[in-house]
Amino acid sequence: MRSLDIGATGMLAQQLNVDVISNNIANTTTTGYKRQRPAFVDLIYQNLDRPGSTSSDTGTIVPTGLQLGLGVRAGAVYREHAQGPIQITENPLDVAITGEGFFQIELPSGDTAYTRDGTFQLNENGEIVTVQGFLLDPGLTIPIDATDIEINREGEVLVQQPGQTTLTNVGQIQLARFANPAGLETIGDNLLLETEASGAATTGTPGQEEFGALQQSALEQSNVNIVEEITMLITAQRAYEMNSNVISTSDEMLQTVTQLR
Amino acid sequence: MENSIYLGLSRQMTLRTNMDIIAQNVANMNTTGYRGQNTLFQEYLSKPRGYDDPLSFVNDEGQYQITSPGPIRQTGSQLDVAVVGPGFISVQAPGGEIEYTRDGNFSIDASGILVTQAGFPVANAGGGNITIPPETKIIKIDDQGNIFADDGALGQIGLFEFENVQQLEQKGNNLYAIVGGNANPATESRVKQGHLEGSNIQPVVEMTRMIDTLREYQTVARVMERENERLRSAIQKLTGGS
Repeated sequence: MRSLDIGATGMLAQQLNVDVISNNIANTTTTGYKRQRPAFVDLIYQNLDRPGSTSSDTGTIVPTGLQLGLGVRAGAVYREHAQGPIQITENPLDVAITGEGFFQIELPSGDTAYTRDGTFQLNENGEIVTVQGFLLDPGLTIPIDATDIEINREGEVLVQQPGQTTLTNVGQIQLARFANPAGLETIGDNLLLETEASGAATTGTPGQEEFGALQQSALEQSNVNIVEEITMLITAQRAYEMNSNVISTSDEMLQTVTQLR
Repeated sequence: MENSIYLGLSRQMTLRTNMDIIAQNVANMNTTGYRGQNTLFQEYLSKPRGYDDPLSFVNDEGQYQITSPGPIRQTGSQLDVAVVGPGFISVQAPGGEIEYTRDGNFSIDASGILVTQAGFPVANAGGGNITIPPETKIIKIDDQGNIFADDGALGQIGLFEFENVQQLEQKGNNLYAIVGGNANPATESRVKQGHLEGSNIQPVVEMTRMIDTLREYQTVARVMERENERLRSAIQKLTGGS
């Protein structure tokens, strides 16, 4: 019976739905996390009677036809890159992006990854690094004797050194943008990689043109909305139950067949 | 002689088709822009030799699309559109032909073209692509499907209506192809930005239809079982067996 398999595709789809929702809920407090959404599409149809086929010699046409669908599948799991709320922190190296753009991070392999997570620290050489110790790209070194660090909206990093009245500019943070940020590949650790679907990165100065501005001593929180997730979880659970009902009903029909005679 | 069994069989086969369609509807309960299906049965009269009254078999003749609108959900995404009214949005299918969808969950691909989640380009009224320049920040879509960016109009989403929406053929991937009649530019439909239309399946209705189908299937099976017993006892009596 097709309905057994169709019910199974429905249960699989809802299971994936719950997986995605639970990952969103688990990352409610992950800095710079962007919520994910599954998009479901119907599977191919089996044409038992094509709409538009003729039903008699005189050319009368079947108005609707008979097409049996074969279930559902997840077409995509995409990311919604809406701005998350900004939280103020005490760390001068915490940087939030308000608007579009990603920080560029140099991976140990030499590749460039992208992130919205601006929780930066200094390593033993005074270089700005992520929580995992990966270098910010383009690299920035804070002098050891610096007493104060200022990062302005345009990404200029200025330090106060003893015995000097003016701030010294030690570098510039740059942001990257993509034609299709939803097409970036997730590799965990809040990092994303460029793909063919995302398009090539364009880099630029924060706060200029279409790039978002930076805010020092602030972090962008996850854009997951718990109320929305719980509502979707309820829908997914009920849909799962109904699909399992379809399977048990089909099973009962088959049982009726085996008990014939 | 076995006509009553065949009559039952014809009903059981159509009930299975019915069950398959219900399963398809339930499986697509969360599919954006999905439209439910219902089966049409018809009587098939046959006059076997030696009978005066024709026998009435049942045949699954076709199915029809449930055209009631699905629930509209706010998503806040500027590339999501819900169709209000009977219209469909035109999409370029892989073969190059134009197909239609109610699923307005769009995104932008690497070259800036507006695409569906399956990656098929959204077509404008003339069948061409719609390109969104990469520097665009805010996209506005009005109720006619015109797309505006910061610096002017970018194009119009093709919105079409059909004389007979039942003549659309389902292609999977939330797409429909036209098999008869014409696609006319929409006059009664509009689009709503930042919203998506959910599946128009009503779970309660599908569940009751499913129970109906199951019980009827069991009843027909019982009739066939009785008929089988009747035949057996007739044979036994006639042949004088015990």
